[in-house]
Amino acid sequence: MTTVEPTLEHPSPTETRPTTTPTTARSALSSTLEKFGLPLLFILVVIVFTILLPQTFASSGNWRTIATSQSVLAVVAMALLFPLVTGRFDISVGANTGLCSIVAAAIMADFDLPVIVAIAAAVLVGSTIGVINGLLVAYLGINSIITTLGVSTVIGGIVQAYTKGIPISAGLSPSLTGLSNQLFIGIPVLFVLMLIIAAAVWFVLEQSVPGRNLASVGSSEKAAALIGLPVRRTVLLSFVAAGLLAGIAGVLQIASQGNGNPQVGGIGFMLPALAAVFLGATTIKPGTYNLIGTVIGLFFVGTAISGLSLMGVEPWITDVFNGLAVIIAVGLSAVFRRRRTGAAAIGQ
Amino acid sequence: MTAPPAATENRRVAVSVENVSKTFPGGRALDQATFDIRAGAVHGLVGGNGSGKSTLVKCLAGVQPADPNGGTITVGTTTVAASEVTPSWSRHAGLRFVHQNPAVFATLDVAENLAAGEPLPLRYGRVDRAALHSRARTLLDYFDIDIATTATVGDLRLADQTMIAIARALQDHVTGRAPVSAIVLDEPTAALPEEEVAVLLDAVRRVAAAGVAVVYISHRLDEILTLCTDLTVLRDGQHITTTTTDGLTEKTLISHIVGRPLDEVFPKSKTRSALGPVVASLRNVCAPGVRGVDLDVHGGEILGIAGLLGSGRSELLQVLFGSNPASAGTVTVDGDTVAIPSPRRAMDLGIAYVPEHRDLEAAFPDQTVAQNISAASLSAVSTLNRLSRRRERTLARRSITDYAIRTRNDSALMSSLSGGNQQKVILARWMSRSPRLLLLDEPTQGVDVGARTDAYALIRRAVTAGAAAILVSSDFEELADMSDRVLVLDNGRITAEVSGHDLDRHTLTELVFTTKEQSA
Repeated sequence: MTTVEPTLEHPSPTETRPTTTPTTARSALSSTLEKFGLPLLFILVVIVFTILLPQTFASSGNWRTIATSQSVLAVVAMALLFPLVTGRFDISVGANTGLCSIVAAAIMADFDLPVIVAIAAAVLVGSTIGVINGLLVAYLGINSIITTLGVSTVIGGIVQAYTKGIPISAGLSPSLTGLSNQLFIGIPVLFVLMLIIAAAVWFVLEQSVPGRNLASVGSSEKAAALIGLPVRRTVLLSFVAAGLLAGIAGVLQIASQGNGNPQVGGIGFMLPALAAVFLGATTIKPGTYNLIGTVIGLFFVGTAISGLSLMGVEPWITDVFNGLAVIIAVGLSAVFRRRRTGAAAIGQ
Repeated sequence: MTAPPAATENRRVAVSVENVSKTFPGGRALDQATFDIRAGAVHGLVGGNGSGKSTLVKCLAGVQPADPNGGTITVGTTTVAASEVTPSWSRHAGLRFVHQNPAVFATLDVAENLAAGEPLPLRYGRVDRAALHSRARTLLDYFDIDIATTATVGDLRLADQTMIAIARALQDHVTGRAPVSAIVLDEPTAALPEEEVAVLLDAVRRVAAAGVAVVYISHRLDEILTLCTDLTVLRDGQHITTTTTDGLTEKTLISHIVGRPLDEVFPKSKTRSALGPVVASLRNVCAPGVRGVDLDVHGGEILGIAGLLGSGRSELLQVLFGSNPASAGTVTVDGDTVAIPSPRRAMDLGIAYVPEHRDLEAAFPDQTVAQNISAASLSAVSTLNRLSRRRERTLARRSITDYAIRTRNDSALMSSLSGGNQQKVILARWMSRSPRLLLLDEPTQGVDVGARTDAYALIRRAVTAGAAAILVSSDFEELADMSDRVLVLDNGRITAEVSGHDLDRHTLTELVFTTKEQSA
């Protein structure tokens, strides 16, 4: 890593900055370690659990379970990514996913409409929640954490009111609920779908003009405005993208669990996804929220928890692990971010 | 140099500066300054940019120790080597400093602001609010400051906020805990609206009447002459004179500041070389900070804008870039009357803007050099919203070569570059759009000499190719060298125009200081 320029208001008369330092070789090694630290840790965790639990953990059945169950969360994590790139939090993504899964389930079970209508409705509802969040954050200027916490709570209430807390499991299209058991050349179909969505998200964030605009707004709002970007509209769109992905995650949730479960969407549900995004920001492109890091982070957390539970640890260990993972990941990504930009503030 | 008149000779000296120098690696900022500040006087400290005023104040405050050349600073009866002054010595010796933007707590009330950093009066372990307010009242009454102690400071006029900062700095003196010898006020009126200036000046006089010496720094010479009893002029780090203001005219004062008789700075106009067509013009344009401006800028021309802080120079550029849209008047670009409500529209018209604060308004510190260069031309490096990394890097590499940007490679982070190279990246960002009109706000601020020369060359090259440029700079040397013509701006209005032989630093300094009355 190179040093961060201090504030430039006091020009030093002898401003001669070496562009290559004598420590280049050492810093190249440490930056490689930084970039690939998480993937290496991931491999290490897999090796340790494989040695400890050769029968259960290392079985193909367990791998499929992890791949299927974590795929929904991976999409939730991708949803979180969009507002975070612009410097904002959307903690309503979990509740929105729960709402969308209930909407899709209710359309099939209670209104007897085809699965395609259910999917469309879920995506539409999810995006609408995104529009509401985006308007409140971008145009009214309310802090994003507060806004989405409020929206999240309202959504939870509505879901409870409609379902009375009872899962919707009858009358669902088998073409959707059956997906969790289907394999595509030996790989769970849900995992393949997740990879396709990830590829699309990667393209938007890393390869498209709108994705670059999100990153520019996240980097410096004033500078973004002065290169002609509509800052508020860009922030709004990041929340709409989050809502849209939450809608898709809601549909995948039914496919993964076989029902529409009103208990889905709390903080506990979303925490591993949150941990994944921040873990992702410590790897591949340290200091920036990035898709590949996020997906690796999510499967790291999922695999570690799977291994721990197979070892028979108490269930509370999972909560402690998730909570610690979030704190450590947020801490590390803040350190990397500060080193890049001199500012570690997260969330507006 | 001039001896104080007999009537005031009996006043004692509050602060004595002797032989104080300060050398930076780039040169000598202050050269053997020697003068006295009398107790109870309002002592003006004047000089142009880079004259050494700020350096002297920093030496007094102990934030920047002076050279160890035997120079001394005496406050009251204590004398210390100028190189040994520390902030805590300065405070204990009885010096206080109030800066241009006073550090007040906007959401707290007046009494709470005055008590900041002081022990609070307690009653049964709780803050005794009655005592707090009566203490504040006593302090304000001492200087005849008529502000309610319960008022929220953020709601007060700027002049009142400054007065509260001054009162707070002097409370040790008022309570008799520790006498304050001198208070330094650094451009206290620069940000004040015209009608509030008199209020503050009255308060300053009362401070001096209380026996505290006031060192008053200001660019407003009329203010200096009416308020100050003594004054010191610095120029290029040299102490020019310390004199009383009795009988001193503004004309004489300016010749001290500028360094030559006034008669030598008057117009001997020269015909300019032929210019291209008018690229942009403003007719009676008003906007926040801009009051009825007319200007034309031609292709092939660099038009300079000179003005003091708060003169509306940045605001004027922002009118043309759509970030401070005109509320009245006509804006014409390439012959068409246009509205520029947003930066996007300005960019579509071929206008580019390099803002004053690179860190805040231009750089994307956590993005790469390539991304920073392409930021304003994404449509040129993308097809149907798909970015072409190859085209982006080609553009970046060409810019890095053309503009001699010193960077490890095009994927180095912007924040890893030096200030001067970051500035070249920003210039390259806009140059790659081949703008018709280039708006430059302090483009070389904080940029070292080498990079500055490169930046000049870049700007000149674009202009020679037919673009027009408007350059704002508080470095009048730069402005005089770079510009074909300079407009002097004061209080949102154009008050003078200089070109040809007359265009030099001294003329600009003088015009900026003198055109005040003409503007009315």
